[in-house]
Amino acid sequence: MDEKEIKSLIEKYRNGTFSAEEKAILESWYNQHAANNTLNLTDEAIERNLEKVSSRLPLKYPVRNKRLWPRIAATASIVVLMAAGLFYYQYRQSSQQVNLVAQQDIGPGSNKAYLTLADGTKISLTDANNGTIAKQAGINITKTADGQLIYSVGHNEHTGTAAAVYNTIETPKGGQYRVQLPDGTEVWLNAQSSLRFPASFEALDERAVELLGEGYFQVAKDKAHPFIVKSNGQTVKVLGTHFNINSYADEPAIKTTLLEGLVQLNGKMILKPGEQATIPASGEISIRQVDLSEAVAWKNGKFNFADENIESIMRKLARWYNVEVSYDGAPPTETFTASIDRFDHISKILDKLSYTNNVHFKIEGRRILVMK
Amino acid sequence: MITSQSDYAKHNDRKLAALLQQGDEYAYTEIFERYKVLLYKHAYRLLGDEDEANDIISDLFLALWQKRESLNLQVSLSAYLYGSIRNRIFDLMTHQKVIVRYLDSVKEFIAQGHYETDERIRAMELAAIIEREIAALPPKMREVFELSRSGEFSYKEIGEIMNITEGTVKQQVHNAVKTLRLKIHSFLLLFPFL
Repeated sequence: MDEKEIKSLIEKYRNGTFSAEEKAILESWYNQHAANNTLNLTDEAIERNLEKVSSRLPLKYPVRNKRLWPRIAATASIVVLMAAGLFYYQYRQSSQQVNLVAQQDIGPGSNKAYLTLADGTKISLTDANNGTIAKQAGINITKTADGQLIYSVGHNEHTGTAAAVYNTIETPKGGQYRVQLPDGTEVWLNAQSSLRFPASFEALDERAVELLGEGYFQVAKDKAHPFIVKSNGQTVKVLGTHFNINSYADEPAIKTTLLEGLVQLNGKMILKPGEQATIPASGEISIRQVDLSEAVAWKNGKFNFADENIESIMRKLARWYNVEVSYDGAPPTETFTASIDRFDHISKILDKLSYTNNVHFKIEGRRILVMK
Repeated sequence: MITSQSDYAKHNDRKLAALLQQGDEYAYTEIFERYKVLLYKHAYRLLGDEDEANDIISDLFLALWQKRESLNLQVSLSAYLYGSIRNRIFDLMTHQKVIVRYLDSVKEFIAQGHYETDERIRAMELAAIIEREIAALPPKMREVFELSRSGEFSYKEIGEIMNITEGTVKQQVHNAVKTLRLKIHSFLLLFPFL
């Protein structure tokens, strides 16, 4: 029995032209093989691999919006309701404005980023072909089809003890990307963000990276080498695994939200899962319990606004849709609550917000005018 | 929207499959959550490669979603999932680079000449292997898995399909595992250099 014969045996099995005996042989071999092999894979490795698998699938987890309903009672916030009656009534009333908005439309962001190597070479990840795109300090940098970059130790390569080699991955407005660092840590980068990190963690006592903008981290466990994220003067030391840092220059404060594990902020306070620390440019640091789905909605392909003012909402939309925002007079003071798909065209989101009749929009090319 | 994943965790496999066929994304996700560890371990056991196992599981679940409307399961959901993995592994094996890995194993298996000719027993052997993998899950995971499968144990199902009692199936599975062990043992005796 050689390769060709075995291959033809399998092919017969798969296209149904097998004999009973041929079927018996293959299936018996399969059973034996399945029963025999020992599983030399750690639970953590399994979890890591399954996370990768999850990201490729159209999974949907129901959002526990239990806290949403009590907020409706508060008079300050206006809720965007999809209830049929109200929707229809509002739509009828503001149909003129809605039509204006629908004339021009803008598509959502996509997987776009640039990678800058240690020697300054800049690679456009969007344009690059899948496969290995570069090597740094013995590490292979591979682009996979789903908008992800993976850093992995090359076979038979020793990364050596040379000084750390730094790479930077940057997303423009309207971009997002995922990178897997050489230790297995996964980072999702939102639009207009950048991550600076060593191409190889070998010979380093700490795994230190720098973030600008917004990133969601899933840190690979390694107690001997703490994982540290620096952003705009804040230092987050990871004692756990999943967290989100929002640190845009045009936002009033850095927000760090922890989902799992433990993180230590600025060498002092410890954040527990479900908590979010807000560090303003000047003033007190505050920590509160938050609805996690809001903080990491972007990573799950959604926008989740809860009692948010229009300027904050528009800043988020501007980054993702790559548009400029201007206001006709003073911005509306009401707040908005809505959950929207990030991959819809901008008109869909603006329509929903305008149904409240507290804000209206006009799209002119890549400019959005916000009116009362 | 105020549903929670635990609502779906209460549905048995048959109900989930029916919901999936109607396009329920949460049911789809629950199926993935319920089976992901088992299927991954099973695929890895056979392939020995993490990335290949990732691909097989992703492809399987992508296809499951894409074909959801025409699903009409004649067998149980777990039988469908495991059967699908087996087919995909065989497909993978027809590739040049992969076949080399299994060549010796298949050759020797065929050379030793013992294989199970009874289709029902082969099905039960596989069921036994899967039951063993379930038993090997950490206690909490196993408990959750068993609870959510309530109303649809593989023993009962096999019994229904083959018109034999559940007790007989249990005994047969027990024997099948014993036989499998014996076979492996004698196989190893014949080939001591393995």
